[in-house]
Amino acid sequence: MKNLGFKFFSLLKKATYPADRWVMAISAIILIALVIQPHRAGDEVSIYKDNQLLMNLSLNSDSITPVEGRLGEVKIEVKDGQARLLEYSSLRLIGTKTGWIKNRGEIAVCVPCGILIQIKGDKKPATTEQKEKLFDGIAR
Amino acid sequence: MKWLFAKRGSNLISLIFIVSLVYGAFFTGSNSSNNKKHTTTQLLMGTLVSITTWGVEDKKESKAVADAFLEIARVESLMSSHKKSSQVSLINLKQSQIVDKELLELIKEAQRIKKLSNGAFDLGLGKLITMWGFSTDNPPNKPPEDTEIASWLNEFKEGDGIAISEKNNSISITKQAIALDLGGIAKGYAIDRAIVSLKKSGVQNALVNAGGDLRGIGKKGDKPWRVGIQHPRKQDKLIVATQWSNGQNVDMAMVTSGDYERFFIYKEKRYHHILNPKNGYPAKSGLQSVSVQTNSATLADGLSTAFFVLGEKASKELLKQIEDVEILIVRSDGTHWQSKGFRGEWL
Repeated sequence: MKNLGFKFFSLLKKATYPADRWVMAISAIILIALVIQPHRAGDEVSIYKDNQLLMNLSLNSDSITPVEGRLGEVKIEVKDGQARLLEYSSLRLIGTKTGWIKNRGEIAVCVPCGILIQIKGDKKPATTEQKEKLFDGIAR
Repeated sequence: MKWLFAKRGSNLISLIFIVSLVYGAFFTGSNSSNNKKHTTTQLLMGTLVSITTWGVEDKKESKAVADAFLEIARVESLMSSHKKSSQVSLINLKQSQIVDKELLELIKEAQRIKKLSNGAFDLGLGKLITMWGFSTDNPPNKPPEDTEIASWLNEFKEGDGIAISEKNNSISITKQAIALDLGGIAKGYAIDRAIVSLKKSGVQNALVNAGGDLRGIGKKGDKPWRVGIQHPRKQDKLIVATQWSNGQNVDMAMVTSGDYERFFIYKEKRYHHILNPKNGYPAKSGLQSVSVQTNSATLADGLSTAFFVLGEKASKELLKQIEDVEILIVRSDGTHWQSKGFRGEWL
């Protein structure tokens, strides 16, 4: 295998001018970058109010962001690459009880507040959760 | 072959190399977008609605899904009793209202299910639901007074109270105790409309999930859509795994009604949101949940409520009268029964 690679490169060397090899190398680098680039977009949490995207927050830096929900202020906390929703005026606090979310596609929501947060980016979806791994939907 | 290794052929080799790379990158990109599962989620109808598609190009997918969400929002604005400007709210306010043909047809379908289920499903319970407080975002913490319910029931139980005029396209309410609440059927209808919209946009493989009520078409590549049914008492557990086809394309809806989605405990007693029109209280039918499979989410939605209120024995009787409907019942003691054609494997 090593021999074959060596033969290939020596044939390539014979068959091309240095300028050609530069063109090939640069093209390869550009193409690899193009293919990889969209997947390397920073992991972030998207914040929606009434289905309108308000903002994206990077998961790479810790932050606490207040957002005005239908029932008053809601906070989105980012810490150690994960995010959570903190609501105060909703009676059931479903969004807060969801806790930290960090994997792509995971959602925390406060329905009465109209606020939804979702993890976007390249982190793998949760594989430990049986329902995430095996099912396309959950009937309830 | 000599020319291939000659210096003057070098430009050709470079060209072939670059073209191969470009083709490879292009081919890989298009292939992955066509064999990808996309899920988009929005907050609509007071719940999370997600639309999952398979094998649709990114651009086409975004447009198709956006249109399907718009269709759901349109149905919500037409039929929600929470929206003051909806036609349903106007019927409740004015007692008589000219409505869109679409709403008239849905109310007719609801009345058909009411008749079929001998009144176990009823779209006229708006006032009772408000009395119990289940229509608000925050759940109630105590039941209404027995006298309040008795007084409502006294007026409600006589006659039908909803008049449909196809000639005028109008709906009228003829009894004080009645207010329309399409909560038991409109979500299913919105799912069906979303599927129609997706099909119109050329999407052949999709799963629409509105707060746990679902309809799926097509399949996921060479695999079927897989949907789990939540345990009625343990939120993190599933009781049933369903596969929606045997490798074939499918068009199926599944809707579950249970006593666990909206409820409160008062003096150690559980009060849930599925109300029995015959007595005005949460249905005590010996069931924790009923899942219905059929090809229409509208029908599945209405029937799941009806079956839950009816209980096991009467549900089995009703099932004999309707075709292409399959059910799974979870009894109060956690045991279950499922009809012969129900697609699902108990976990």
